[in-house]
Amino acid sequence: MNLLIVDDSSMMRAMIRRTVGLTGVDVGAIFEAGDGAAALAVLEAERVDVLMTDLNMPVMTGWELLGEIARRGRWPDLACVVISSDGSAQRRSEVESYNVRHYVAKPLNPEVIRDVLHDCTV
Amino acid sequence: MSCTTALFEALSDVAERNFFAFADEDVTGYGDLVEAAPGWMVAAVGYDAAPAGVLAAALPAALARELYAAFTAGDAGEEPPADGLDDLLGEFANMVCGAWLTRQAGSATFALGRPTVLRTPDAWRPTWSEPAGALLRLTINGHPVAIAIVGREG
Repeated sequence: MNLLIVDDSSMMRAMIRRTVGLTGVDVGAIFEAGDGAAALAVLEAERVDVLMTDLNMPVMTGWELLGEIARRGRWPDLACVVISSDGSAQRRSEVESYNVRHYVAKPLNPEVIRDVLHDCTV
Repeated sequence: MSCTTALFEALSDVAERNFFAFADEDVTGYGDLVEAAPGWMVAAVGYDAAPAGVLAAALPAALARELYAAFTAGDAGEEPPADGLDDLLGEFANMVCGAWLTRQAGSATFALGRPTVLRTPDAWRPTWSEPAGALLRLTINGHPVAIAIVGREG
């Protein structure tokens, strides 16, 4: 299972990578991108099974990234996970139309990330 | 839940889960700790909710370096790169604000701005006594921290 972590903060990407490591889940390659456009370039070049993305980013937001993934239709098996500081029920509801498998609110909890990764392998 | 209770819960959650640090509401001797701590940093993030406002977290540079070292598994005595420290503190403020608003706003959504981190003059200390919003004093790993919420009507 290859992951792609998308966040404009290198610290946040490192935090997600570290949390994934704490889950004990066996993952393959972990790619990183600083915005949605860079993430699309990785998706075009690499095999990615799980996309973990922030929503608020410069250049191309997470919303735009998820919309572009849906529009291109080239990655039907890609599991999309949103990681956001906004844990509100309304925001969780808003992303449902973007074919998002899971919505994770910060701070990151290794148990939650573990369950998400397990579900994404099903 | 009161604003400061929700704020402490949010901060404690973020500190413990993602920064491997311990937050304590006991502020015995807080004033002395503040005066003894040189070189403060402030991480602020604006939020658009109802009402909108700004969350500002003031903490000693020594604590910032400690959080950075814990996060990167480095040496707290080493000076971290400025951009890395800013990134870390910005995320800290962002996560605290988001966790607090999630507790406060219930089901309503909100938007966070990009965090700003600044270094204060050597003599500066957080002495807000009558904030327009709310003020939380606490310690993290024994270091004094002040969190101010300055709101405006949305």
